[in-house]
Amino acid sequence: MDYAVYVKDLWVSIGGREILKGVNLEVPRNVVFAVMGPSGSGKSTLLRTLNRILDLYEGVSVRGRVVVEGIDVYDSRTDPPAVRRLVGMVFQMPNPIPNLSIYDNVALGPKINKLVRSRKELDELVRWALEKAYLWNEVEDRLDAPASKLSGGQQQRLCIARALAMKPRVLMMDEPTSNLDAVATAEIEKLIIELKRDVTVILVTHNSFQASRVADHVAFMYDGQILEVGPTGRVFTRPAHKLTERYITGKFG
Amino acid sequence: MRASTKRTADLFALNSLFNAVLILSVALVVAVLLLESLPMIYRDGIGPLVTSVWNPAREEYGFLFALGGTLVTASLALLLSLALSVGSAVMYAEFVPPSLRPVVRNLMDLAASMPSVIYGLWGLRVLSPFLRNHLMEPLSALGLSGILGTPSPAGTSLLSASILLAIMVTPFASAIIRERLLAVPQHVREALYSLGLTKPEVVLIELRYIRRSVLTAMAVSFSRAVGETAAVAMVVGNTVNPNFFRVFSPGYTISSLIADQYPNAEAYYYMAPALFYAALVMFAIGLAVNLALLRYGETR
Amino acid sequence: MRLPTSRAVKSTALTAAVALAFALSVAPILHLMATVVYRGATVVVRNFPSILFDIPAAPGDHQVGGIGPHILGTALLTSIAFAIGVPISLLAAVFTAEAIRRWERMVGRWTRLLVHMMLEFPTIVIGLAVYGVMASITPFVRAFVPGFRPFSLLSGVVALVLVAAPYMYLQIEDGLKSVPQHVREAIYSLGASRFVASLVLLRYLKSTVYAALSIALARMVSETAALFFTAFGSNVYPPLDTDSLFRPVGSLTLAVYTFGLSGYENWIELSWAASFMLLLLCLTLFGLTKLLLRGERRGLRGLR
Repeated sequence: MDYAVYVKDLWVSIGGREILKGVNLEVPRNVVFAVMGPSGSGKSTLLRTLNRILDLYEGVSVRGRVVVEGIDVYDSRTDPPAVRRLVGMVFQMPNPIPNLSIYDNVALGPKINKLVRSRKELDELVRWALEKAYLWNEVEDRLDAPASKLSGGQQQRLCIARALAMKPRVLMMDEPTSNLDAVATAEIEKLIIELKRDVTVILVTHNSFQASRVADHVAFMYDGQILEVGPTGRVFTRPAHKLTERYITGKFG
Repeated sequence: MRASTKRTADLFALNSLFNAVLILSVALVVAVLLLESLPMIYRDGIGPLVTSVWNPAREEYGFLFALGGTLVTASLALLLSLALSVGSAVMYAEFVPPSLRPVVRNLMDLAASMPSVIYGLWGLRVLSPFLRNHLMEPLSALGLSGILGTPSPAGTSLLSASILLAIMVTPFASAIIRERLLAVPQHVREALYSLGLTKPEVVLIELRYIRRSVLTAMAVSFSRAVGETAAVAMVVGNTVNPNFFRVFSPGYTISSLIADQYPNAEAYYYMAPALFYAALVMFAIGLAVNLALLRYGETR
Repeated sequence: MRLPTSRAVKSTALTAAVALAFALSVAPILHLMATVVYRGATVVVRNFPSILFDIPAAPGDHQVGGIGPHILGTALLTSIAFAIGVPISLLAAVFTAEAIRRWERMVGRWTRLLVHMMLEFPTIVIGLAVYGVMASITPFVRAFVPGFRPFSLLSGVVALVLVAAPYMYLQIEDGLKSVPQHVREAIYSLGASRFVASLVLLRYLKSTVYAALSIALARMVSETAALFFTAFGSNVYPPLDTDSLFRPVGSLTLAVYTFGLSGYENWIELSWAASFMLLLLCLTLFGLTKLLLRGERRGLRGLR
């Protein structure tokens, strides 16, 4: 069972409504794994289950087993913050902490989780993360500026750098380009493909073309269940399920 | 057609009379404060602000002790209510389950709208004796009375007034902070949690994010504490106490000095002007706080 | 997978501090309410209904008597102040919110600014200023109205109007400003005069207006400091004649204050009884306000 993420028979309800209905998932290491599906199919909820961000919401109940990098996420002896430290997350809306500087946005996670010993190490880590996210050249002379001064695409890359600075094993991205223009989207997609050398990327998208462009494996979700999983080439050329076919040919969703 | 437009416009313009009433009232209040205190300002200048001799028989009215009492009680109340209101706002926004929130909110809102004189009665009959027996007496016995003063038999003191003020202003301050905490965007909160922060660590950053609102809440608390009269006059002890930093002892604040002394004012020449002068000073403190707020706080 | 102990301990300590602060801010309030209800209700029940009508017994007496004059005083002060204050603040707010011409907007801006300022006046200052005015006009007014006195029902009413009007004014003005432009255009397009149209706007804002009035009423009922040198306080029923407006009157709040500070056991009991009645009144008005504002996102000024 050597997967980056392993999910077994996962049921999630929010406020009494079943959102996930028996999801099974196995994500290998160092791939880009895309979860696609129409809105409301439960993609975002699935993602929020993996690092227990779902705990922030009222009336959530989770049944089933989730293992991320060998850690049983819903075990009572697991501290959610410790899980979240291993699982980076990038959100649909670029969400830098508005009152913190560019530098502090990236440095916050490593500082609190004590990943570095000295200011110098922290500086290096911040630089490394910003370079990884192809943002360094654009911000190196204004690291103390508030993050809110950046453009939308830059903000999203800052959020990726912020996640990377934690040296996570898994990076989850929840429709990271849906609020960006075409140019910024292309930049981020290029970045995603490069990132899989360092981390396992789980990408949630409602855009099947994006999935086909960047993913090694895709899963198709519909109404709280995963209808189909497989290598991208196979799923897009020979979909096993009628609904998958209709979805990837743009007939619904 | 033209004539009718003109006529209706005139009727609306009549409303401005009521604006004039409000404007004139405010102007009149300020003018009366100034005019009535002029004789004292003319006679003693800033003397009353820097001396603590209150001797109506000799027409001497230095009210430094009351000014000091006001500043000491309001500052102490501010410090206490900073801890109480930030803590209770965080509790409300982050730990109280949403289903229970209306109960807590209504209780705090009700507390904020209760007559201050009720707080005064409770402060006089319940809080002051309690503080005397369980806080001031034990600490005095430890030898602190040299620094902090000696409690009166009833427990009425500058400290009791400060604590009562803190209890009274906390619901206001807490409401301002909690609304802003709840308004922190969910996506910012999610970002913080996704970095592996624990709840208290997230809250600390959120508080940094809303620090201007916390400042606003504190300024509101301070100016309320400065102006509060009925409750303070009941628990502060109403005693001329030049050592106003000895908070275990009874004392005066400007508001309680006015409330307590005014009925005697007609018997003397300069007491009424002195009290108006004191009111003017209190008004100036409140104005200064509000101007500072306009500069550094956020508009509510 | 656990957090490092130092972080876990720090987080637990912070959580505990927050819970403690919450407990310390709520506990006194609950204790206060419980005490007022228990001590006040005991006195009221034991002396019902005479406590509502009688005058206070002599200090130190074994009976408590009643707080009839104070209840009457509160009723008179608030009802008259309400009747005067409501139209002033309502119409001034309408004028400010619906101002279009240059001079109108300027008047509006000044009103707003000064009313904001008045909101920050400590109420004792307002009371003192009203007394100052009343005392200085007394010699002139006495030439026409021989019974005129500065410590009087009239002064109390003026003070209460000045205390409560800013709240009503600002709430209603805020409400009018928040009316969506398309609603405003629809009303004006009916061809009504500006005066009539603004009254229709007020009807559109019905629940906000009623809530503002209810808050203002609660302010007037709870006010103490502004009444010290105006209504002054009285333990007897005033005779009903042409000078009724010019005599000192008591109020529930003044009863709590003076009886509470007195050293006599029977008067202190009256003080608790008056507190209890005040609490009931405020609770009723508070509930009414909340009911009127149900469904509205933001609370109004002064409610908290």
